[in-house]
Amino acid sequence: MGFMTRSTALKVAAVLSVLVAIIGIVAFDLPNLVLGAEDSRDPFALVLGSFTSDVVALVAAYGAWRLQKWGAVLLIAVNAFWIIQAVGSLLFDTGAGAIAFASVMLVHHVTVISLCLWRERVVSAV
Amino acid sequence: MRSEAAARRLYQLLYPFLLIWYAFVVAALCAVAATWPHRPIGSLDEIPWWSHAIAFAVVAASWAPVSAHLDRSVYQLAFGQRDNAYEVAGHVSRQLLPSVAAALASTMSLPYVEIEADGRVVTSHGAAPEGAPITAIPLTFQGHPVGTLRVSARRRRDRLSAADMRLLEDLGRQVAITLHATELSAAVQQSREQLVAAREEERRRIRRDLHDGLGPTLASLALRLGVLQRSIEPDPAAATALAAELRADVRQATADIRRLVYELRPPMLDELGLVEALRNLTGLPRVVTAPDPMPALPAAVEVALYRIAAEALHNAARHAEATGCTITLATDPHAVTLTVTDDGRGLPGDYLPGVGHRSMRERSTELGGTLHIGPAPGGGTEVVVTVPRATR
Repeated sequence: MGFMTRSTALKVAAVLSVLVAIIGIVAFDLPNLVLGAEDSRDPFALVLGSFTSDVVALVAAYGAWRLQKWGAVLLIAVNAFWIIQAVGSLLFDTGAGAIAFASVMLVHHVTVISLCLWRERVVSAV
Repeated sequence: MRSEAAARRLYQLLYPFLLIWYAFVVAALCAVAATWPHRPIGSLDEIPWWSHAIAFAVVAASWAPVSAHLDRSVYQLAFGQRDNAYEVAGHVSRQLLPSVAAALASTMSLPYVEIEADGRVVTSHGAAPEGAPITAIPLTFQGHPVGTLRVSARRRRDRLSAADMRLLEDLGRQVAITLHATELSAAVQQSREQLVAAREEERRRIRRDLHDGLGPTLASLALRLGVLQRSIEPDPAAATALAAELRADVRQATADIRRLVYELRPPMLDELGLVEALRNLTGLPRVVTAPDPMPALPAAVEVALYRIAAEALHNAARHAEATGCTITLATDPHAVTLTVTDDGRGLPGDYLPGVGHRSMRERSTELGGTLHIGPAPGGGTEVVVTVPRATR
């Protein structure tokens, strides 16, 4: 684990989370929110939860980018929540596209959590 | 204290949370794999029981390394790297100079600040405007040059004022102290790594000696003792001859052990003390003078003085054709000085330090001491080594 500093790891985690949050907001949350609770293609509670988590992820990414501890913790929490969504999608969704997307997201979330817990190289003790 | 409590609370919450999460993710992945052929499933009840059993087995098998890894990671996230003082010190020193350069640039409105040491740029801040002159200010610490501070003027064809230069020279002294401290930190780290390397090398040598020397000898002795036992009655003459061989081998093994022990620490130091051990060294006739009583010295100091004296005696006999020498030990509350003076032909005009002299110098330097080798006042060569009485 010696090839990346902790600050770099947190910044990479922040960028990855911002990307996924923006994809989620643009591709899933906003279209459903615009349609409204009645006409939403997906359960509206799920849409609201997803939108909330995406916004929280953006805030957490800002904190992580500034190397703040709360940012890293919040990113871990959000990505842990997103893992539930990804696993649920892998178990219950139909369609190759949805499964491929959920698989990529699962890897993404595990990667982000690992980056938030990144440990810098420690000199071996005497 | 509040941040300490918050960090502890964070650790106490996040660590078990992530452990549970790890178990959940493993269980979910096992469920996905187990239900893959007939997916999508209608409800969680369709996940077979053996999927959970496999998940349980995987979690149980990987629990120790994963929990240890998570523990260290969450600990660092919560508390930082305070459990590794060297890492923290290194981090501070790495961050210090960039911060100093940035502070200089912002407080004096300088577009470019660069700190150089040993011919390389240690840190720089900003960029020099095109055509702006660069001013170099030498950084000195206690009279010794440690680097250079380079700053650019604020605008093209503009020069720094005399007041700016005075302020920069004053601030340069602080930068020099910081630079010196950073270099010291790096030197401490390097020294520490050398100590670790030396210890490992010593261990390797001892292991090699035990494995290649004593190990086979003792194994061979055991085998031949078996032969001896079986041949006592049928062939007493052969048994007697074998016993004589075995006795010689045991003597050899004993000598090997003695050599090994001697290389670790000369036994004479423990049996006789430093002064008597110096009197009993093999080599030139000598007169040993020491305080009576000789104050107790750390073991490392005793070994270093003993080996330096042995090397000096060896050199005097081999290279200087000396017939005698004097060894003087002198102590004060802080240091002990060993002086070896021979009556030989002295150092040659084209003297270059050899392996023995370098070894003596390394032994004294390791203990924070000094070594001087030069002509003795009355002819011959004088070796003077001074080491602190309290080893660091």
